[in-house]
Amino acid sequence: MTASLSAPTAADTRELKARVATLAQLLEVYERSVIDQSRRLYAEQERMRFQTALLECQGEDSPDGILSVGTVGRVLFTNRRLAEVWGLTREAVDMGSHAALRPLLARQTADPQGFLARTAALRPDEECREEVVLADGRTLDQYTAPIRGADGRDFGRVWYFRDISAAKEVSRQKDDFISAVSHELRTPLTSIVGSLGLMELGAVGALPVEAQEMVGTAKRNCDRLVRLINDVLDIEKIEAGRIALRLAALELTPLLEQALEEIRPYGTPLEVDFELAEPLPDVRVRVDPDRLLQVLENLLSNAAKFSPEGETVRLGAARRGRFVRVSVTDRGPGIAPELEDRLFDKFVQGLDRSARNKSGTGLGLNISRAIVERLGGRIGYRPEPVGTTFYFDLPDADLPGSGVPARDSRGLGGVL
Amino acid sequence: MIRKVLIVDDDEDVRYVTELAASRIGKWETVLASGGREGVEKARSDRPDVILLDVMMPDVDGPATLVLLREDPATADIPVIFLTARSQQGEVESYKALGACGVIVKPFEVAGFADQVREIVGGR
Repeated sequence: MTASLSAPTAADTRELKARVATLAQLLEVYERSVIDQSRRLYAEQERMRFQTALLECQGEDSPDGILSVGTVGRVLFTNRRLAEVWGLTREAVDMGSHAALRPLLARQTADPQGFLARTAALRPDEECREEVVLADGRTLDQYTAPIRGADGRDFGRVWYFRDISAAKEVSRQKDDFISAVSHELRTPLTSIVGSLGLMELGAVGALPVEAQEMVGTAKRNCDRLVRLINDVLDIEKIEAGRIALRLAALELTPLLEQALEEIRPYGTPLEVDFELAEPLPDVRVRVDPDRLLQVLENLLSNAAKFSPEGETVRLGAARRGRFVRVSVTDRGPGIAPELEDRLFDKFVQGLDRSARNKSGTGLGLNISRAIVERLGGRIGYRPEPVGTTFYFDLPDADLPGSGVPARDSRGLGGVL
Repeated sequence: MIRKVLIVDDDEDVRYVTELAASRIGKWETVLASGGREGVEKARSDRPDVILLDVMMPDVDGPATLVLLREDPATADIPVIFLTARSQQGEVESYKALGACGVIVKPFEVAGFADQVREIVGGR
């Protein structure tokens, strides 16, 4: 008996056709979806390729030499400029690992041991800027920071190196120029100040009364010119960061007492007295004593200049958290509102131009601010019911984390 | 006890004023020189008690003059004070390292000039 497959019926055929059609439709939809996804993926890849190419170009053409190192020390990115500023070939800087690249860079510096030590001392989260002097005499500005994603993910560390030799040369020439100018200005002033001083003392004969007054006027203004030249030189040095501060942790009170004693004669012709406000805190500050006295002299002489006759200027100090605040209080006319924002700027002086207030150079507060900030502090003032208090805050030398950071923006670790 | 002072400076007016300050205020005898070479000669011949030496001079400058003075046993022990219009902190120290007793910055105050000289010399 033959098994007989029953011949498909018309209904079966119809159903089969329908199923095939559905399948075909589904496939078509699927195919379209795949093509769509592929297109999107391709577009995404194009975008990524574009971004990567853009970043590579930006990195490659950056004026800075760029070195990126991953979390386990693998070199992630170098650019042409990196090789250039370090005086190496492109092949040489394409070391796979930072550990291999580091000694290569160190050998290019004037102080390889120092360079390696400072690099090793970097904390993982540390960001810093330093100057690196190369063996061939050039100077690089080095800035390094950790690379962190927006979500805090740690990608490693990046270094930027820029050759600043030209800028340093310009700066050096400017310094030489200012030095030469100040010398040229001071030499003729020596003869003028000397002549007037001798006349004033009567050392070249007695002068008629009017001539004597005239000599006094001339000498006062010469003295002012001399102070101005000194101040201009000073502020230039401070701003260029070339002030070598000799820091030491010192008792504050003796310094305040010394400042007061030294300023006392200044107040005598103005009929202004000075007083130390007790009690004073037992605290040490990390300062260069000469520079601190310079700031105190500036604040105290200003206070006296703007004090009415018969008044007293008070000098005091008090702890404020991690800081100690030194205050100089006068009972003068206060600060004019139009000067409020500009008080610490250069060449701003009180509007009262009477004789007792003309002797300033207009740079004192500017210099004081620069010094205080270099000492890691802040300077400011506040109006009193009568008069004004100028103050500056300095970190307590005996508290941890105080004082000026060992690496400031010039990388002058040794100077501080 | 200072009796005689040698003033070495290339600027005629500075010499004039310094000489007057030394003689009228300090009451010292004065010898003048307009340059480093003349300064060394006069130091040998006149044997001053103190030499006031300008730093910036053409030809033989202040530091070079000091070296010459120190090389000659006849003048090596005479105290030298630099008179200078430059007053960079580092420079002051380097002058002392060369053998100067001290530095007086120009322009100087006439009134205290003699005392300043005595203090610097007395302190050596």
